[in-house]
Amino acid sequence: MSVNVNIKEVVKEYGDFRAIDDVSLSIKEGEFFTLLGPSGCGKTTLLRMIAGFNSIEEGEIYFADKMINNEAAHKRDIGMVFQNYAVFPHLSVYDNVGYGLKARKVPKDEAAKRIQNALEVVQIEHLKDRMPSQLSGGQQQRVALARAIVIEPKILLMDEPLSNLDAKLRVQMRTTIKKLQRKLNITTIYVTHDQEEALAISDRIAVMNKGEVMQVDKPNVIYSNPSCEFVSNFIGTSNFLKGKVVADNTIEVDGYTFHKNINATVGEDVLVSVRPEQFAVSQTDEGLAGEIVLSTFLGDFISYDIELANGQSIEVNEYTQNIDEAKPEGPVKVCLSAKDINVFDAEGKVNLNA
Amino acid sequence: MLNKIKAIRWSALFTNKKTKRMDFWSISKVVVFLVFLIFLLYPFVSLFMRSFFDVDGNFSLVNFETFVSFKYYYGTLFNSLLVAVVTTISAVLIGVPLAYLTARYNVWGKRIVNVMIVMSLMSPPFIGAYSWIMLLGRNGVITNTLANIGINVPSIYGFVGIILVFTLKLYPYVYLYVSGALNSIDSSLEEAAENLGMSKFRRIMSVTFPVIMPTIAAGGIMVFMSSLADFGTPMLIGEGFKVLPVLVYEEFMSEVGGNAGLASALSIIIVSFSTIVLLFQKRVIDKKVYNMSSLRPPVVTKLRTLPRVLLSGLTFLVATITFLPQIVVVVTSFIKTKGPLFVSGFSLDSYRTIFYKLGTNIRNTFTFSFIAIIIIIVLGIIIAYLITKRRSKSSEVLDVLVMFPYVIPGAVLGIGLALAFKNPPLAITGTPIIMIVAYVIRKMPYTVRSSSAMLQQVDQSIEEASINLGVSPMRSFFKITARLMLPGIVSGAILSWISTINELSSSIMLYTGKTATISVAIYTEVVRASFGTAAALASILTLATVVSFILFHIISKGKVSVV
Ligand SMILES: Nc1ncnc2c1ncn2[C@@H]1O[C@H](COP(=O)(O)OP(=O)(O)OP(=O)(O)O)[C@@H](O)[C@H]1O
Ligand SMILES: [Mg+2]
Repeated sequence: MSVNVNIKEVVKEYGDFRAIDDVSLSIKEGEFFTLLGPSGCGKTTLLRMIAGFNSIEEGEIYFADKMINNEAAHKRDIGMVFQNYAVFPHLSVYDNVGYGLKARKVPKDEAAKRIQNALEVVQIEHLKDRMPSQLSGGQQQRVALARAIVIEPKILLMDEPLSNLDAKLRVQMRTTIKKLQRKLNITTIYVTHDQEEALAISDRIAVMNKGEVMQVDKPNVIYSNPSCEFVSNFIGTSNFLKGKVVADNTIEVDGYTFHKNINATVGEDVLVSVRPEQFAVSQTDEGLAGEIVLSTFLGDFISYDIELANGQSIEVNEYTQNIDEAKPEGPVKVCLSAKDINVFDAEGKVNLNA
Repeated sequence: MLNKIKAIRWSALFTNKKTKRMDFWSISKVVVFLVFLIFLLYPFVSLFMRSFFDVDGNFSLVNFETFVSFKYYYGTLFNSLLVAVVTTISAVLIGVPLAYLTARYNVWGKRIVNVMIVMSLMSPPFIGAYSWIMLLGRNGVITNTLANIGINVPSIYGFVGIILVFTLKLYPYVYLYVSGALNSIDSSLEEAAENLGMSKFRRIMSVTFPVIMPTIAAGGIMVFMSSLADFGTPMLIGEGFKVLPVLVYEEFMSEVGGNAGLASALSIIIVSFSTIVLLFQKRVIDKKVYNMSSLRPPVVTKLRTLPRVLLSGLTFLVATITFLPQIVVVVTSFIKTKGPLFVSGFSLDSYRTIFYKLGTNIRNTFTFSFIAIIIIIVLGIIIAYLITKRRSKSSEVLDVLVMFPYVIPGAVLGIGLALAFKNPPLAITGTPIIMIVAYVIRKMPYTVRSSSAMLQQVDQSIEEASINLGVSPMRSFFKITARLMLPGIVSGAILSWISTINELSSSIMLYTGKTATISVAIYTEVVRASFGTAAALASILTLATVVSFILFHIISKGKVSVV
C-alpha cells in the first residue's frame, strides 16, 4: 500500500545556514522519484527530514493526507536504505532482514515466509546464515534492500545506495532496484549525485542546488529542456555561448545569426546552451568561425575540440555514420541545430525557449 | 504577506517546541548533570570557598597567608614538585629505552615483560612502599643480609624511597604510551630517512624521536600528575620528608589543631598545579600527537645470540624489579608472624587473622566497589553516548566534567565530599553512600573513555536503521548501539573496578570504623606495624586484581588500552 508524498515549503536550518530552503515537491503514489544534485546540495538532509531524523524548521510534509512533521521516526513506516548500508554487524543476514518484522510483532511463521520471499527477491537466499562481515559490498547492499522492503513500507528511501559499488555492479544493481520497485510499486525517493544513474532509473527527477529545487520533471525533459543554466550544465554536457537578440526570434552569436523562437525582446542579452551533438561542422561558409584543435575518435561519434575566434573552447560531436572520416585540424565553421538548443536569459536563470 | 510570514514563524516555533519534547536522552542528560552538580561541583566549589574563611567563619586570606609564611607548609609544595619532577625524569629515562628495546629488538619474553609491567601499574598504590620497606627498610631482608656481611645500605626512608617507589610504579605509563607509538610508526618513515643516507643514530634522533616526543610528554604528564597527587606512598615511606597531600591529610585529620580551612586551601593549591599541567597538555601536547595507523609495522631488528641474551636479560631484570613488590607481598603474607615481627616458617595465620578480625573490610571493599561499578556502567554508557553522539555545548561541558576528577587528587575529592555532606539535608558523610559516591566520580573516566572510544566506531546510521525499522530510539540504543559497544563498556568497567578496589586516597578521608575498606585496613595495619596481616590483605587485593585483569584481557582482546 503505497502513498503519495507532499512536501510543502520545508526549511532546514543548521544555525544560520539554510541547508534546505523552501522546498516543495509532490511525489505520486508508486513513483520512482530521484533527488539529484551536486555534493552538499542538501539531498541527504531532505531525505532525513522525510525519515524523521532531522527536525523540520518550517513547512510541512504529508504522507497521503497525514501531516507527519511531529511523527516520531520509528512510527513513520518507511523503509530506508542507508548510503553505508548500516547492516547490523552482530546479526546474521536472516536476522537483519527479520529485525523490522520482530519490531512489528509479525507472527513467526508469517515472518519466516516474508523474510524468505525478500531474500529471494534480492537473490541472497543462499547467504541467509552468514554474518555481515562475511559479505561483499554488493551483498550487504542487497541485505539492506531486503531489510527495507520486507516490512512492506509505505515509502522507500534510498540514499546513494550504489555509491560504494564498482561501476559494473552499480549498473547491474540499479536495474535490480528499478525492476523491484516496479514489481512492488512502492513510492520511492532515491538520492544520487550521478546524473546518468538518475536518468536511467527515475520516473521523475528533482534537480537540486544549494538547498533549492531547480527543476522537477521526467528524465527526457530535464535533458532536452533544462530550466536553467545550472541544470543544463549539471545534466549532460553543454556549451554556453553569449548572444544577443538582434531581431524578432533572431539571435546573433559572435557574428553568426540564426532563428529561434524565444520569449525575449529585441536587444536583450541571452545565454545560448548547445549540447555537443547539436553542433555540426558547417559544409557551407555559414557558422561560427573556429579552429579544430583536436579530434578524438570515440566509436559512435567523433568529438572535436574547437577553439572559437573569441578564444572559447567548445565540444562538438558528429556521428560517424554521417561522415567518412574526421575533419583535419585547422580552420572551420560551426553551425547549430537551432530548434533543439536552449536559450536562457543572460543570468542563465530562465529558459526563454518558446 | 507579512502576516503569512509571521504565521509561518509562529508555527515553526510551535512545531519546534513539540519536536524537542523531553526524550530519553534529554532526561538522561539532566540526571547526569545533576549528579555532577551535586557530587562534584558543589563539594569542590564549597571547598574552594572554605579556603577563604578563617576558623571563626570570617572571610580572609589567612589560610593562604599561613601557607606562604611557614616553611613547614610551603616547604611541602617544594617537596611535592621536586618529587614529581625527579620521578617524571627517571620514569622517562627507564620507560623510553625499555619501550624501544621491546618494540624494535627481538628480545625474548616480550609478553611476560608486558604483563608484569601492566600488572604493577594496576596494583594497589602503596604496596610498592610496603614491599620496599620489607626489603630495604630498617629491618628489611636485604638490609639485614647485607649488614651481616658488613655492608650498610643507605636509608630508604624519605626522598630517595619516594622516588624509588614512584619511579618503579609509574614508569609503566611512559613505557606503555611510547610502546604504542613506536609500534604505530610506519616503517616507510624510517626507511625514507635511511634512504637519505642517515646513520641509525641520527635516524633515531631526527625521525623516530621527534615523532614519539609528544607521546613521551603525554606519558610524562601522567607520571607527573600521579606522583603529585599520590598519598599512600609518601605517607608510608616519606617519614620526615613531607609532601603536600600528606600535609592535607594531617591538617584535615588531626584531632587537635586540625583546620578544615587550611586543608581546603592546601587542596586548592594542589588542584591548581595539576590543572595547569593538564591545560598545558591539552593546549600544547595533544595538538602535536601524530595519529598514525601504521600500514606496514616497523621492522624488528634481529640480534645475534650474545647481544640478544644480554638485552633480554636486561629487560627481564627491569620488569622483575618492577614486579617485585607483588611477589614480596604474597610471600610475606604466608610467613609466620609474632606480633609485628616475622619469624621463620610459613603459616596461614595472617589470613586467619584478617578473616576473623578484618572480614568487614574485605566485605566493604567488594560491596562498595560492586555498587559503584554498576552505577559507573549505567552513567558511563549514557555519558559516553552524550559526548560522542550528541555533540552540543552541554555535552562538551560534560566531557570536561567527567575528566575533571583526573586533576583532583583523591584526598582532595575525599575532603570536599566529607565537608560538603557533613550536615543535613544530605548528611551522608560517614556512611557507605559517600564512599560509593567518591568511587563513582573518581573512577568513571575509565569506563567513559573506553566506551566512547568504542562508540566512535559504531556508525550512527546503524542505530537509525533500527529506529527506521520501527524500534523506539531508546530501545534501539540498548538493542543495537549498546550491544555493539559492549566490549568497550566491559573493558572500561573492569579498569574502573580494578582501580576502585585498590583506591586508598579518597577512602582514607571518608572512612569510619564501619566503612573501612581493605586499602584503608592495609594502611592502618602497616602504620601499626602488623606487616603480616597487611600483606595478607594486599595479597587478596592483588589476587582480585589479577583475576580482573585476565578477564579484561580476554574481553578487550588487546583493543582497549589500560592507560
Ligand atoms: N549536522 C550538520 N550541521 C551543520 N551543517 C550540516 C549538517 N549536516 C549537513 N550540513 C550541511 O548541509 C549541507 C547539505 O548536506 P547534505 O548532507 O544534505 O548534502 P548531500 O546533498 O547529501 O551531499 P552528498 O552528495 O555529499 O552526500 C552541506 O553544506 C552540509 O555541510
Ligand atoms: Mg548525502
